[in-house]
Order: sequence, then C-alpha cells, then structure tokens
Amino acid sequence: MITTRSSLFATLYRAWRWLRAPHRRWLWYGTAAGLYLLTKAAPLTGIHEQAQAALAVFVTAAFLWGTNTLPLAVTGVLVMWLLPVSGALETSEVYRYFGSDALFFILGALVLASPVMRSGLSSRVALVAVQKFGSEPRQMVFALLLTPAFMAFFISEHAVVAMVFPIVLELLKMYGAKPGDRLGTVLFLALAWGGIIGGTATLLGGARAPLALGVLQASTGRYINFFTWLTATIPIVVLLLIAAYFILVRALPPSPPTPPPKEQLRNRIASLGPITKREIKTLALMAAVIAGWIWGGEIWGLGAVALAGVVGAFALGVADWGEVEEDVNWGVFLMYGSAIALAAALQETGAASFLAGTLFGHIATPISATAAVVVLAQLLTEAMSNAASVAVLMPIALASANVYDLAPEAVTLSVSVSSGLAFLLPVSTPAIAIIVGSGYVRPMQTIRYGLPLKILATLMVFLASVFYWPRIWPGG
Amino acid sequence: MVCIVITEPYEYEDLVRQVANKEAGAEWFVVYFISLPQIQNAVEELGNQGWLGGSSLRSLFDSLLEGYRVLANEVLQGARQILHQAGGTSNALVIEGDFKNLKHVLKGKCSRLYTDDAEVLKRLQREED
Repeated sequence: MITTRSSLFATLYRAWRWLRAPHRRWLWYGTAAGLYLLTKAAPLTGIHEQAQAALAVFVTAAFLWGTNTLPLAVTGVLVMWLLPVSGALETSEVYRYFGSDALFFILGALVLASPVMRSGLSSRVALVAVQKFGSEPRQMVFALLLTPAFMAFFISEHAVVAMVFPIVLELLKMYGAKPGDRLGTVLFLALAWGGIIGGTATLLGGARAPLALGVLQASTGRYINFFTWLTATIPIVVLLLIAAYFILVRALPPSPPTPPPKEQLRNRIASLGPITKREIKTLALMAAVIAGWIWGGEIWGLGAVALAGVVGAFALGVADWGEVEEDVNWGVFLMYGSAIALAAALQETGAASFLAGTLFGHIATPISATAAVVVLAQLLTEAMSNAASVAVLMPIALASANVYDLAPEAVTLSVSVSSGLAFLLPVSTPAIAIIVGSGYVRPMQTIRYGLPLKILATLMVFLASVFYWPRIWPGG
Repeated sequence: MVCIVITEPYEYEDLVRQVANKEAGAEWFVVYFISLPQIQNAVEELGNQGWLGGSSLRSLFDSLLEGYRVLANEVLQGARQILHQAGGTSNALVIEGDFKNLKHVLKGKCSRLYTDDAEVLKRLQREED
C-alpha cells in the first residue's frame, strides 16, 4: 500500500490536526489557564493589581481567539465572566459596554443583510455584472473582483463570498474548467480578493470595522462617521483592486479556454425571472438606510439608523423574522460586546498603556510606531480571525497613539483596515477558507499569489497612515 | 481487484501513474471519496468563528458538495484514462458519506488498496479492528 501527499503543507496540516484532535483540547484549555495564572501572578513592576488582572484576561482571550480553541462567542462569554471574577472590572460595568452604539449597528446591519440575500437581489447583481463585463477570462477576472468588492460595501464580505461562490462554480462549469486548471484558481481568487478588499471600504463590509469603532468610542469617546470612513479607505480599495487585477491577469493560463456562449449566461439570468417587488423595496430601503448613515449617523448614531432600517424592513414586508433568525450568527454579539468591555478594562486600568510601553517602548518616532501597528495588524490577521485581531490590537494601538501623539481615529483605521486585508491563509478569513474548500485553489496558491498583494496592502496602509489619514485627523 | 481511493483533486495523477506502473494490466476499482463529515466540520468552523449564519452555512455546504461532485467526476475520468493507457480495465465510483460508507463499498472488493491520504488507510484499518 502506498500513499502520496508528502508536501510541507501536508506535514504541517497533519501536525496541526494531531494537536487539534478533540481529545487533546485539554492541552489548549490548560495552556489558556496557565497563561491566565502566570500573567496574574507574575512579579510585574509599574502596574497595579487591577491592571494586572485585566492584562491576565486579555492574554487569555488573545490566546483563545488566536488559536480558535473555543468558538469566538464562547471566549466572549469567558471574558465577561473573567473580567469581574479577576477584579479587573465590576460586573455591571462589563454589561454596560453591551449598550454600545457600534454593537447595535452590527446587529442592524446583519439583520438588513438578510433580505438582500433572500430577495435574490445579490445573485441578480452578481450575474448581471458578470454578463455586462463580458465572458473573456480577463473580463471575468475584472467582473469577479469588482462585483464582490462593490457588494461588500453594503453587506458582510463573508456573506458576499458565500453567495457568489455558486455563481463562480456555474461559470467554471460553463467554461468546462477542470481541477488544477489555472482559470479556476484565478476566478476563485478574484472572488475572495474582491470581497476582502471591498469589505474594508465601509463600516458594513465586516464587523471588525464597527468593533474597532466601538473600541475607539469606549476608550476615547471619539467617533468616525460613515462617510469619513469611506473617504479614508476608498483610495486603498481602488489601488488594491487594480493591483489584484494585474496579479490575477498575469496568473491566467497562456491559452485560456474558449468563453462560454453568451446565451448560457443570458439564460441563467432569465431563470431568475423579472425583478420582483421585494428586490425593488429592498434596494430602496438599503439606499435610504445608507443615506441615513451618511447624513444622520452622527446625529442619531449609526446603531439607531440601522435599527430604524430594521423596523422599515419589516414594515415594508421585505424581511421575515424566521429568515433573519437563520441568517444572523447571533453568537458574534457576545464576542464583540466582550471585546469592547475588555478594551475598556485595559484602558481604564492602565493595562493598555503598560502593554504599549512594553511593546513600543524602544520605538523612537511616531512613524516607526505607525509602521509597527500596521505590520503587527497585517501579520496578526493572517494568524487569527480579523475581528479577533482588532479585539487584540485596538487597545494597545490606542495606547500607543496616546504615547506618540497620533490621532486615535487614524490608528483605528490602521488597525481595522490592516486586519481586514488577510489574503494568505484559510484561518484568517472565511473568504480564503471558502475558496480553498472549493477544491480549485490549493492552499499554497493562496500564499503564492496572495503574497505580492499582501506586501502592497501593507505598504499602502502604512502610506495612508502616515500621509493621508493625518490630514483628515490632524494630531492626537 | 486493485482499489484506488482518491480524496483530493490535486495530486491524483502521480498516485494513479505510480500504481499503474506497479500493477499494469490489473482490474481497477477507482473511488473518489467525498467525506461529508469533513465538509460539515469545515463549514461548522466558519459558523463557530461567527462568520456566517445558519442559512449561509447550509447553502455553502450544498455549493461545496456540488463543486466536489463535478471535480470528482473530472478526476475519475482522468484516472481512468491513465489506467486505460496502462492496459487495465477499470470501474469508477464517487462515494459521498463517512468512512463507514466507504468501507461498506470497498468491503470484499479489494485485494490491494492505494490512496492519496494515509488517514483513509488508518481509518479503514481501525474500522476493521
């Protein structure tokens, strides 16, 4: 009997699978408990008892979020329990942070995404865009980068990639693409990269942005409105989409397969039928809610506008509670709420300043501190989920902003945008996990093609952090 | 009958060529095994990380499965071509399910078994024990 599959990746994967076997989960729990006790009891100087308790909870949560030992929401519950038990924060204080505007903004945005997906509007937009741009491989790459990117301006990039995934499969079937064909790899990479890049543009592309905003508000009382966020991120999004297009076009096979007949795509769109009343109402509602976020977000709060949109969705009959219950992953609220409470605990007790001093103490200039934040966020987000990366880095980055007199809003964007730009590994973002799961993209290919984009992304966020965002928010 | 169990679409050609050289002219039974629990686990993991809701997870599971079926048929077609060139006769089948389903289909059929995944061998042996 023989077996093949002897690549480095396979060896690492086997080792990881061995360590992650369910009966070895106690190793991970034990490590988390050990980290908590060690940090709590360590003879640290320049930090008082309450701050050290907050630090111990932070280290434990960072480990658990980073290694996915427990579902993110369960680690959130642990944080909510540990914060008062450790003496870092009063119980009532912990619960108070669940009243954050950012949290209700996430809730509203996720509920509003349900009718967008269920009405068929999203599939129609994706199919029509692909048809309009043309079915030559280069045009298809363009369409598959741009469409998910644009859709991720309005709904979570993860939902976008999951939604457009079957459409890419259909297109590949029409092309007759075979396993291992580079066309399949390129089109799936275009889908994931488009979603990921577009997801950083607004506060709607992924919950990491509202989470970062929530931490900013809880820690400093400052705020970034919907439109300012968009104007701050859009140059990076456009430049990265252009870069991604050229990387992917270069990766296309030298003699690409013949495009499918146009009738095939036309028939597929025709199968959706004429645009329905539900789609039109959903479109109108989303336009009104986005206008509300832009012009009324600062007055009423993003959360209040989102909740008004939710009420509107049910009043217009475009949302259905049964569907919403199925579409929203409710557990995330525990993670986000606890992350905001944890960040506030670190800030209030002075643990964040201690951490920033320890990590950035040897850094002399604001520019090198910015570089450190950007690089750290870009690396961390490849190893853990992007929301976890925001939860772990935001408190430290905000403390460093205080030390180096950087604008906290600019630092928030450095962390949030960097944390959203994960292109290399399936553990970092579902977009990559989904396309690797397709069977058309080998895990090493996401690294091979994603690395140049990752380097460019890091450079662009750094340049924006140093030259562009300080113009929007001058000085700390 | 000589059995070949393929579990992923990337490196099957090496395996099939290697086996075809070793056992030229044999009667082959080529299986592409789609492990449903493995897909389920991968999709559930996305839910655990708070990324997707229940309905998105279900539709993603269905799409992934549909994609794997297409890939499996392509892979089996390619494998049979290689074996045909080596001068043997072959049957091919896509099996969806867990290891029990795979074992049930292979039971009593294989004089020798080759696979691209050591885990398959281990699990089949464990099932036998």
